[in-house]
Amino acid sequence: MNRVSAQTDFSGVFREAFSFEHEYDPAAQVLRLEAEHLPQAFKLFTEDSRLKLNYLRDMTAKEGPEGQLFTVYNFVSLELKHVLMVIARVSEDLVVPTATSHWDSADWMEREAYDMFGIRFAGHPDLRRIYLEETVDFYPLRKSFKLDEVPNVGDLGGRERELAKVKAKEEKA
Amino acid sequence: MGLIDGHNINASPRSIPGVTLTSLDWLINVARRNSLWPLTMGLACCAIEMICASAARFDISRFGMEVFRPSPRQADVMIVAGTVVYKMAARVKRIYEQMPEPKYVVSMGSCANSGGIHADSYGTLRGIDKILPVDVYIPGCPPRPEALLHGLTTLQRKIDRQTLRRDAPNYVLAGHGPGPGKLSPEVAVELMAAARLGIDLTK
Amino acid sequence: MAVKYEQPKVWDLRWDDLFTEDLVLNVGPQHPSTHGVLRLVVTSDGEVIKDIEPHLGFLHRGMEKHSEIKEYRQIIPLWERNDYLSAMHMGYMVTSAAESLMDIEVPRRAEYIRVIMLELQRIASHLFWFASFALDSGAVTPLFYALKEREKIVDLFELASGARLLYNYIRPGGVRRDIDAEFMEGLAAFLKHFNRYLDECEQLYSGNAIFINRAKNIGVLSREAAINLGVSGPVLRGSGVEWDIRKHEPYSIYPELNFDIPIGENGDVLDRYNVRFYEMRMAAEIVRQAMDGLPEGDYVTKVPPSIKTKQGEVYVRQEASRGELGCYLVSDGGKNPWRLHVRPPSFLNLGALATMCRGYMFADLIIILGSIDIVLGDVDK
Repeated sequence: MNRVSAQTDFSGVFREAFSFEHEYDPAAQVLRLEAEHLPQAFKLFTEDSRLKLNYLRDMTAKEGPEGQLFTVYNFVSLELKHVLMVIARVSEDLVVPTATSHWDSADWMEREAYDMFGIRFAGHPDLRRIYLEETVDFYPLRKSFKLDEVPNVGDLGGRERELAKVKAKEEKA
Repeated sequence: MGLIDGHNINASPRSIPGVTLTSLDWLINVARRNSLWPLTMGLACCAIEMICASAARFDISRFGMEVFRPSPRQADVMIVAGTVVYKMAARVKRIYEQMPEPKYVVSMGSCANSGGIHADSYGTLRGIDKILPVDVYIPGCPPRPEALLHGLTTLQRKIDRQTLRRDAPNYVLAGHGPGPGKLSPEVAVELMAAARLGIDLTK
Repeated sequence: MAVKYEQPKVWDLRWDDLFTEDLVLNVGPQHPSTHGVLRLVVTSDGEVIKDIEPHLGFLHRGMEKHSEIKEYRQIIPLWERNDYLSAMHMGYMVTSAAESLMDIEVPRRAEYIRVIMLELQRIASHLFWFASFALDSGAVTPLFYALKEREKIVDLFELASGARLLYNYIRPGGVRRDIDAEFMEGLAAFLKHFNRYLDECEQLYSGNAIFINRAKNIGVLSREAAINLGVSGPVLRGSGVEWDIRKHEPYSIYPELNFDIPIGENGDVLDRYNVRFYEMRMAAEIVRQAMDGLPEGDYVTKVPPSIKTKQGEVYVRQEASRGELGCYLVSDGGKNPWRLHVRPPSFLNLGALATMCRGYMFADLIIILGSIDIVLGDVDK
């Protein structure tokens, strides 16, 4: 949809800089790696003069079909006018190194990822929920949290069942 | 013309210019209905249509309601415009309780009426009438400013029917006193859902 | 008999012996100037602000989760309620995300109509911003001027789509209905007087010495801080960064249109104000070019009633009125999105509020918040 002016191929840069396993797709500008290698990647993005990815425009998380979580970052270089999307697979303990040491915009976006998915960010200055209250015990955007589908306006679905339960309890009492 | 001219609906056929014969109810109701001061409880998109209603084209000022007060202590009618989520519902209830009597609540838009398009969501209160007594419901998503004005004139007609006699059903403070002891099941379910999100709506 | 008058001890105290503490003030969710339900906890040393902590979530309607159980056409009106003052932009966002994972070609006439609607929406949104900004600073008259002009745009939208605020007009494949001659006449009449009308608004408010004193060198956001904090839109351009997605990552027919983007110098409130006014003029210019170049043809390509997208993921972005509006869509090939994440412009712009307000006073806080132009539906999703 968006035509990016400079689509540079970074495969050489990544191959020489990264000692770990990674996948890079130059056509879609997507880099996939494991979340524990993110600090090295972030360091490369800000310091390398061929990348100069100084603007973190978006950071979110997603859940794969088998339940593994990924964090997704979108970077732009405002000078060199190229973009990069980084998809990092989150390890089993759901701890991801933070990006706030390089980009301040990650501050609130990581809080939102924690609020919605429960991913903890190691090194974040103030990791709290941002939308929901602190006492909430669930993470809404996980696939395990089911939202009641209301098929039509008159049918409240799951809430109707709860209502029936409450009514039954009252009838007994 | 003014009240003093004798051109009023309660005037007897032989009215004397400069003298008005009417009932205290009518007089007080006219004073109340023609200068309702709304409280700015504009939460989401319906608030924009509320602001457009107070602008020059739709002009809420011709009904005396251009004075939108931010403080609940100075307001008569609370126009709940927009989606009420559980986190905000506790504050809306508290602000409602801070308003002095007689007070009215107008529920504007689908989200305040019944949860609207967001009724499926985990955080939305399905209708402000679960926690407040509502006088007028204005449907629409968002309702046009004309619809808001129609709702407010309906409220004015409701105020016209009120009386100061304490035993009458249309007593001006009826419906706002301490309600029935037990909550209806719909409201109980909403309170349970809000408690799961950490919001206490009973206070 | 004269009594020796003892000076009270208070006069001996030095100002740095006095015990003072910081004031923590709650600018609550219900407030006339917070543009919606935003709670700011302000820590200040008297009148001078030391820190601001925004508390969000008072309008969190869970739209991202809700999108996962609905189909693409059903979530267009849902997301329009996100940033309700730029509903055309939100509709276009969902549409372009879905279209980038579908194999369809949108006709050129539809693209031109979309750009006309998007730029008109930008003008309407900036006019509303101007009304509320002036109202926050204490001037009530610009509200009526700006909303009078906005009503003309909203009438045009009503002619095209049937609604005043939330249109559900931009659909995958094109637009919902074609625009007719009445719309074009109304648009021409609107554009004829718009620049002169903006001059009138500037004459009313922009030259006012009180406004200049309240806006110049207030709320300064430096260039490095702006880039680091991820702000976008007029806030980023006001701080001197030349970045506009319509120019640098273009979409739709923007490469064929001729317009320039305003860049500020200091990053203060006055720069952001001037950037938005210039953007309004440029938007009117774009609408004129699109109107002149509007081709004949279809206004929509047929899509099946239930849209199925290819498997894949995409991040589409556009320049909405408040900044960069991005949509990250992950699709598993079905009718519902697997994951839909929206990058709202006001979220990160609000994150920069604390940096912008440190060291200024309470009255400046309201003006700075007005100059960022947030919409709480956008912040809270």
